Amino acid sequence: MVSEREGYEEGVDMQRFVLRRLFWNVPVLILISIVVFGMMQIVPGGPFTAGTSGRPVPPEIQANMEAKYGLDKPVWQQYTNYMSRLLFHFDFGPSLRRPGRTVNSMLFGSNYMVNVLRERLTATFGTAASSMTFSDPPGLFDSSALVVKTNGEVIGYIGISWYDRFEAVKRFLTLAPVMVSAQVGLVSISLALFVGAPLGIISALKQNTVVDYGAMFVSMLGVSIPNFLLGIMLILFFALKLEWLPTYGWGEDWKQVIMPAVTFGTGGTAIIARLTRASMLEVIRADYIRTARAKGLAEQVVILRHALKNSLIPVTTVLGPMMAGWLTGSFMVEWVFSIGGIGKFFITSVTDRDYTLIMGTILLYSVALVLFNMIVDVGYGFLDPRIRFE
Amino acid sequence: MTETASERAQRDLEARFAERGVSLWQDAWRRLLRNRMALAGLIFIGVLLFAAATADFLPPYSYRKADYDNTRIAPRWPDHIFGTDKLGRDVFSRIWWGTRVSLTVAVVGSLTSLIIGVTYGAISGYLGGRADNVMMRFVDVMYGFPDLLFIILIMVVLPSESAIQGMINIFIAIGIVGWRGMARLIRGQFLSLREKEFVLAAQMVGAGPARIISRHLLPNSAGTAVVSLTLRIPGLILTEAVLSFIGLGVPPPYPSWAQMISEGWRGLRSVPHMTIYPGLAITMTMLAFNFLGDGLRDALDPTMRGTALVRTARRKKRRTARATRKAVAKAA
Repeated sequence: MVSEREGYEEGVDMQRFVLRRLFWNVPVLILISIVVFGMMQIVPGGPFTAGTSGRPVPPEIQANMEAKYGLDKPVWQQYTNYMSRLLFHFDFGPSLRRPGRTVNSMLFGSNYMVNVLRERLTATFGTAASSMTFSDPPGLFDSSALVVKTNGEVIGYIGISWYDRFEAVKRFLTLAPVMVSAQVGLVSISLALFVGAPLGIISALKQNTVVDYGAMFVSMLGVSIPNFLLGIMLILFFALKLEWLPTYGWGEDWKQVIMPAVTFGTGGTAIIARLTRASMLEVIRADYIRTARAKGLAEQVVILRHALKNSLIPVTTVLGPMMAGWLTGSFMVEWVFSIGGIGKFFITSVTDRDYTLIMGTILLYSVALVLFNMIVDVGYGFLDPRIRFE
Repeated sequence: MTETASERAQRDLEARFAERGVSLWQDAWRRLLRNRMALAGLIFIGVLLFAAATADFLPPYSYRKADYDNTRIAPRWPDHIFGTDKLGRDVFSRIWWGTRVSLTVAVVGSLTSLIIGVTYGAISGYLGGRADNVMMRFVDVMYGFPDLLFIILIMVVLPSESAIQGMINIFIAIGIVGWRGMARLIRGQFLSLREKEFVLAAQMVGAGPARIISRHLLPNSAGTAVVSLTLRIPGLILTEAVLSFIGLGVPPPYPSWAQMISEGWRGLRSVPHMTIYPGLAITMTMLAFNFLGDGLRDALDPTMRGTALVRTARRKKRRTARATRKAVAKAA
């Protein structure tokens, strides 16, 4: 039995581990941002070499546009400007290709929560050092919409009721593009975990039977079929032929959830099933499982309490990067099912050379990756107490 | 044909000696052939190779020959067995041509990741210590990029003068993403192999770092590298498919399976054949490489559980048990 004293030390260990990991991730993130910023300079063509209509832009106008967005400054200055705006004001900058839109609004939607965060940061750090600040047009729950003005003079602010705040949070969670992508990802992950892991366990327990071969063939198929193709086939069958499910959309009807989730989740389900099977096969031959059986424990207890936990360790390893990838959305799934998430920016930002959007998407992804990898590392400790946090 | 007893004995003896003298690779090859799914995958890949080699003269139509009188016709025997697309091009012939893209991405992509990854991992693992630490942190940083976005960034950075060059660039960009995993793998192998006695022995007889790496460490990590490479190929093909599907892959008149799907899926209800056949081609190719990769891993690493070896051994046991039971029943 673990004494209280030991438990306490473990907690401290973990705290130190998490803090150190957090600390180590800062240079990694900064390096990523520098590499991306540098690469964008090497990439031929810029956001203003072609107009929105695709026609070439006269060089004078191009120069003016670049000056407006500060792209005429030295690279290091552009970088520091960008980073200071991001860190101190949570401002991802204006979209260079979509006039009038900010990267913040494209990623997080135009909403109260992000604006409040930005205001708080401004209150703490002062206004942006760079002369150019771009803000979104006030949305429904934008706090600046509640400014009371008389003859153009601000005479006061109307407080925001808790009901409105609650509504604002709800709107953010349901409508913000980031959150839409995260929802699709979350459903897919749940599918992968709750279908994949049991599938792997069952086929490990029934090794070399029809069940095992069947499950493994299906999961091999799941790895082999590209997800856009799977999505298209699902649409063809369930939406066009059988007319059971809607062909597109997200968040209006529970039926809309099924096909995107299956499309997005199948690959992961298959991977998790295969991993779980392999590690389960290894675990159930371990000595402590034989001991547990010898003690006369019920098979269920042996599998669920003794074997499962250890067999999930390899699964946890792949889960970190997987979750980061899934929660930031998939271009394919969002395209095939017309879902308004942020997955599309992973492609369009580069093809458009929308520098600020490229930075925004990559940073969002890398922060998610770093975060989930850390969560996974902490998760190891729970699954296997022998793994120390060092 | 007649054979004297001594000749037969001689042949038996030779066979036995041959059996005894199998190398690791021969042994693995034999185990691989015993795995039915891997064998099927291997045969399918052979068919693909044949298709790619003969794409210039065997298919009934050219991949770019438009026929505006016969657009979007449903599959029919014998002239258009997979139908035609919106320009009247024969889908079957285009799929035939498309094998080239998928196979090239498999070869170029894995070579790229192999060359970069092995070099980087070998240096990092051989040096060890602080250099290793710094080099691996760099790999960590590279892992921080979303794959697809990174590939597209590299694609636009690489210079391309001609269409072929552009195509090769796509494949290289796809391969570059894979080097990180390969580097980690090789580095891990090197770190553990470096401590082995045979390296010490080589050092004692005066072998330099270059010789130790090329003659001792690399050959010993080759198995792992090969398995990892084969398991990675489906990923490469998939990435090419994704890029082609969104229109960033192989430039249009040249057919790639995913590009055919992206042309076809808008008319899914009326002309499903434009989506289904290329889709089948991709899926079957991916399956073949996946099965081969799995089989190869099992063949090269017999310690893995649930392998083909174990399976065949059990099957044999079961078969003998059944035969014994039958014999007993007959006797009784």
